[in-house]
Amino acid sequence: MNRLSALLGLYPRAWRSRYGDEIADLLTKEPMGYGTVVDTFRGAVFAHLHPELVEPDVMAAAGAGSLRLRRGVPVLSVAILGVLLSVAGYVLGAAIVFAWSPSTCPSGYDKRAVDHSSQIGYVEYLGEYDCVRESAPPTVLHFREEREIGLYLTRPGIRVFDFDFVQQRFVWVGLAPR
Amino acid sequence: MIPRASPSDPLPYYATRSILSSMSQTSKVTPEGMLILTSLAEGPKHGYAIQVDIEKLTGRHLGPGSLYGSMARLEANGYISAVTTEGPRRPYRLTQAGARALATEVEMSRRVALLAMKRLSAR
Repeated sequence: MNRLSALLGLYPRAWRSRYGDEIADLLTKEPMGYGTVVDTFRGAVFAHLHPELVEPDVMAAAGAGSLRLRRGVPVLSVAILGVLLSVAGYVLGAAIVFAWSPSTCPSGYDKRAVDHSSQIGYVEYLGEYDCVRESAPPTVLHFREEREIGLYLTRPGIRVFDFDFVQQRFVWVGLAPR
Repeated sequence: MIPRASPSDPLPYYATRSILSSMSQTSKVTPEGMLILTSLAEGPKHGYAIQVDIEKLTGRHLGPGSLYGSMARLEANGYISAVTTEGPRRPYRLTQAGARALATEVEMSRRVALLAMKRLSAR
């Protein structure tokens, strides 16, 4: 079972039948990082909590004030399943990202925790990428899908900030180009 | 350079979301739903096109889970509908009910924005 099938398998059957192809289409375009995994888990939990959105008969039952959603499944059980899935999602997502992180850094870079709020600047949502070049100017980061923006090496779609010394505040540089 | 709202320099996501969130307290449309309705007001689009449009507008990448959760809610409420029923790239369009809901939200946003600007200028 590949990663895509595993993520789609978290959705209820009715949701997969209705939106599965479309979600899979988007997932094939996403960098399979922590953010994508967590977002998909959250979407799956939402889908389990809201079967009525894709099943009109369940919607009618819910609208009539029924405490049971479908085939005798109590609301409480679905809610508990959602919470458990959510917790499992965070744990599994962190494990997957940890497993996929490069075990060694490119030549000239050291693998270490990065201070994303340094006085020089920071790059948003990049906690899992942590190869730093010590001899270069501060906070030059290396990522697996490289695009260079000024001092920063980042990946497509990531918001990059820089410290404006005139205004003495962080300013948004922009999105890394796709 | 501080980011400003313009076609070439989109409004930062958190500013947009904060405004939309305050606007959506009394309606069934979430901030993400508002962004989807705004995207579809331009014309029918499939999920990926909506995702790209929202990213251009706000600078925020809406993941597949969040996007289709919001779209399912909008579709169940009758605010959007699929143009075709097959394929991984199914286009969606704004319905009449969706256009009315969007217009209501936009009008509320406009009123609050005007009031906010007025009060800020008086400070």
